[in-house]
Amino acid sequence: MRRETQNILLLLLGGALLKIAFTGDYLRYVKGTQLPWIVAAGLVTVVLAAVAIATDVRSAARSGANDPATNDPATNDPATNDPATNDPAGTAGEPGADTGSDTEAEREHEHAHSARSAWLILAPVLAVLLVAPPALGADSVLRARQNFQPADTDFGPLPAGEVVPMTMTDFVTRAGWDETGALEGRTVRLTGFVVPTDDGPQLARMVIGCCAADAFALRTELSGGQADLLPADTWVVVTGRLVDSGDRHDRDYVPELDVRTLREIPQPDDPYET
Amino acid sequence: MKTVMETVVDNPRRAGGRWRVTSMQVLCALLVLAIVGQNWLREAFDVPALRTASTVFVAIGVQALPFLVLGVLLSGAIAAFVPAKVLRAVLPRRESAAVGVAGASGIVLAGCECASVPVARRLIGQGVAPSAALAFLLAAPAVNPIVLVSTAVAFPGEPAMVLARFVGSLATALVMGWLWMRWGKLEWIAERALRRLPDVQGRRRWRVFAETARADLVDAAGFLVLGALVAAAFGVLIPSEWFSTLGEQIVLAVLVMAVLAVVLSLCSEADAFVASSLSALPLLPRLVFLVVGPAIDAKLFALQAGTFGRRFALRFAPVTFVVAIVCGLAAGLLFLGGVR
Repeated sequence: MRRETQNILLLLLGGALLKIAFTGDYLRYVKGTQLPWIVAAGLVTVVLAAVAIATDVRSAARSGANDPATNDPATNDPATNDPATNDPAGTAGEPGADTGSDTEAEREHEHAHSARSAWLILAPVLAVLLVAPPALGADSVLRARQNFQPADTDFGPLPAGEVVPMTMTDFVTRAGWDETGALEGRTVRLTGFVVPTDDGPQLARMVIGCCAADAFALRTELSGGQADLLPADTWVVVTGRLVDSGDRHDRDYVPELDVRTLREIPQPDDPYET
Repeated sequence: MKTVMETVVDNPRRAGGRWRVTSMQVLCALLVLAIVGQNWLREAFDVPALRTASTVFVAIGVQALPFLVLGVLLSGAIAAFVPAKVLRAVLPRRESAAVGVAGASGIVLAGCECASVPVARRLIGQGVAPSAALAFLLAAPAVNPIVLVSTAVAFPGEPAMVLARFVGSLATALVMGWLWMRWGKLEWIAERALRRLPDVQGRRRWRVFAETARADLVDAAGFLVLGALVAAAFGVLIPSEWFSTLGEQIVLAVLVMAVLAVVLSLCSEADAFVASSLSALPLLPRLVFLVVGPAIDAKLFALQAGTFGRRFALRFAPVTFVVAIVCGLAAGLLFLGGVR
């Protein structure tokens, strides 16, 4: 692959990283604290490509002014085949400089080892810029069978108030493992998306540790009929009470919420809990 | 694509006046096609399983790229600012001791596995013994403070888990280094990875820095993408029942968790959270998962094959896999006191 093509691919890759950073779409893929890393990586990638393009253009202009033939022996050492080794000063002849020389053809050949793999850089670029994969939703939830036991099962008392806003993590872990019964008789407010299943609708939220690859689902059944007809991946805020339904282990630790109110909302900026 | 790319000659005049296709023209054509076909692309990806896989694919890429960029910057910095004789002076002369020092120095590079591949390659290029560089390659992603802290957070009631992971991973790195010293052959490593850059002075250093980092990034990014594609496909294809029905069969559980660590290709800073959530399993298979993952996984294999060559990766990766399982089990028996 030509050096220029590599540089364009790097520009596209860095640009794609910066784009998802600035539009906030990165939250679909990784957790929020990664933002500075993504911006830095995008900037470095763009700068590395831009510097290479700038030196190429400058040296092309400079050697174009001289006799191109004087440049070739120095920049075309057959013993080495890495641009950096070949020419640490970055004055390698580029298309404008070496019309009639072998440099460009050899460079294409020299990089045969990376030619094929570098094309793959286009895959995430096109995925991000054109397809923009959505946040994980109902499909991922249906792949996971049960709610997982939390690392920390030491619960304090719930805050006071008529309706207690809770994360899905908090609600599901308390419903499954809180021995103090703090949820009894309390109305809670949960945010998540709807997952229709054979046993009725469920409310779910994905939890990620680092990126969407390590996501797992937390879910609760929604009883009361209000969510029955909602399509998959509809984001809702629900209030309701935990239904005490016997042995939780048999139910894969999926609790049941008796829904009092239900309101549809747009997808939150950060679709995941961390 | 290969045939088109490798047979082209960029200079039209050399081709005797016949017009040939260059990689730049292919790129432009691909971009135009993709933009024209955007709606078709979106519809094609609007299948639930494919949507999930593409999200996971982009997620692994977005999560790993910053670390890869950090790695190529370090690689460029070593090439430009650390003369080979300095590296030789820092490391002990005896190779077996150099392996130990290199493995232990992995503690300071707080990155995930993607960062350490370009750095290890550059160390070899600058004359460090391959055994020492490979020990560093395996140790750096697994024993740095960020990974250990996240392990401690993920297993709040099990401080022994942190110690077991640290010892298991470091042992894997050292054993692999010593194994390479005894049986490894230099000709398995691709020639391009062994090439040494000349020492340079003054302003030229910055040029070498930028050019090395750029070339390493181009080389490695494609393979990272390949690894992410494989991991995303497996993420969708592997049924989750694998996790939950294994609690009783300890041997099978260890093997499955080791294989999962390879195919899922999780970041070493996050895998502890996944392991801690698999509470149906005893601690030992989960520890093996944590020791194997940073040492060898799908994206790491792709990166190694791209950086050091396929002949190297096909030999190194399977041995790493076995050694990591053994070290993980030994550390588990030692520090966790059995299966638990």
